[in-house]
Amino acid sequence: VLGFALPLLLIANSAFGAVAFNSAGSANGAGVGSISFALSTAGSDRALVGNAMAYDALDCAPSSMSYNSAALSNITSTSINDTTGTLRSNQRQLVAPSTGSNTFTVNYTNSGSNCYDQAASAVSLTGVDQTTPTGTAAVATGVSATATVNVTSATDEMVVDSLIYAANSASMSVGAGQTQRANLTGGNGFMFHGSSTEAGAATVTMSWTQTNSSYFALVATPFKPVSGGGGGSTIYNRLLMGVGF
Amino acid sequence: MLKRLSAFLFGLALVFTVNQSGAAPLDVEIDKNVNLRLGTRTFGPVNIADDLTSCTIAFDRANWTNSAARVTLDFYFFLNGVPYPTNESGTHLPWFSFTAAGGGTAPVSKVTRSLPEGLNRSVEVVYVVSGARFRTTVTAHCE
Repeated sequence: VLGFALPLLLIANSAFGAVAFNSAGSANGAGVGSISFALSTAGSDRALVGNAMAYDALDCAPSSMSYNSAALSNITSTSINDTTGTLRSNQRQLVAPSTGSNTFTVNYTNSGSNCYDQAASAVSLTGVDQTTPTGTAAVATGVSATATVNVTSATDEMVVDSLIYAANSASMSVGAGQTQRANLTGGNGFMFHGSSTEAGAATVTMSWTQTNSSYFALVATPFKPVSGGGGGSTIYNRLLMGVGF
Repeated sequence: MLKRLSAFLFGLALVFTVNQSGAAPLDVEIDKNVNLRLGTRTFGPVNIADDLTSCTIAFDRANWTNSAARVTLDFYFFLNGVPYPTNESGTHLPWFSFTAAGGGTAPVSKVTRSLPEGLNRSVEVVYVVSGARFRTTVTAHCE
């Protein structure tokens, strides 16, 4: 009986140790100072990832994000200038967001009147370490038909990326192994915004492609599991090491 | 003769099939070249076809040059005649919202969001003008 039950216990415990996807939402705009949308969150050890994009000729940077009026903390941002403007990608996070349906808001500087293309998305996760939710974020910018960034992560973590990609093709595709959570154009169609998740590993490559080469700004962040990651739950590790309880 | 009749009936069936499967997009000029007064304006609720997947609300900015003139817009959604979504207090949350002010170089202020699937859906747009009056055209487009 023990020989049958032990593997089951190990599998079950290992699953409990991983960060999991809960929900996602997105919207696009142009010429606006803020974009808001309703998003539902549920589960335990929650974290909310906010992504804000802008393509502008003048200053139109994402300046703040909130969920049910609670401010998200900045993780990282990056930008690149193309021939007509600046592509900006900003990613933020909030630990223990309110449950149920609430409003996610992105505010931009300059009241949006110089923002030619905008987009925002949010991804809700569960099983996230509430003290140290994120690992080291990675950023990449460039001009290519493939936008890619490598993230240092670990088993049971989940990597969330956020991309702004000047549109030079009909559509954009998410990379292999990633699960698409948002894929939309800006309000005027000058840019694509994508966000996806992928299970953690020592190195996780997040990528998106379009047919023709174009400018991109990509950020990606690993989210850590409650147990600390790198091999599953405490019980799992104790059993593997032959340690008693 | 029978062959012609069969072809006609087959063609007729195709036309009906195409008509039934195609969504009738919602295209409405909520306000056309209007000098908007300060205060709240409401459009709807209006029913939308079951297979429409997204809605856009847009303000033309050609004559919206005064940066003191501001708009706050809320787009509400109803599913099966019931407000959707609601928060834990039962308050109807906007499906999406945006704010915008005059001036700058962008030709339009707008936001688009995909819609929840379901039957018997309707939408309502509520916007508040503050600071100063301005002239614009406000459109709703769902497809």
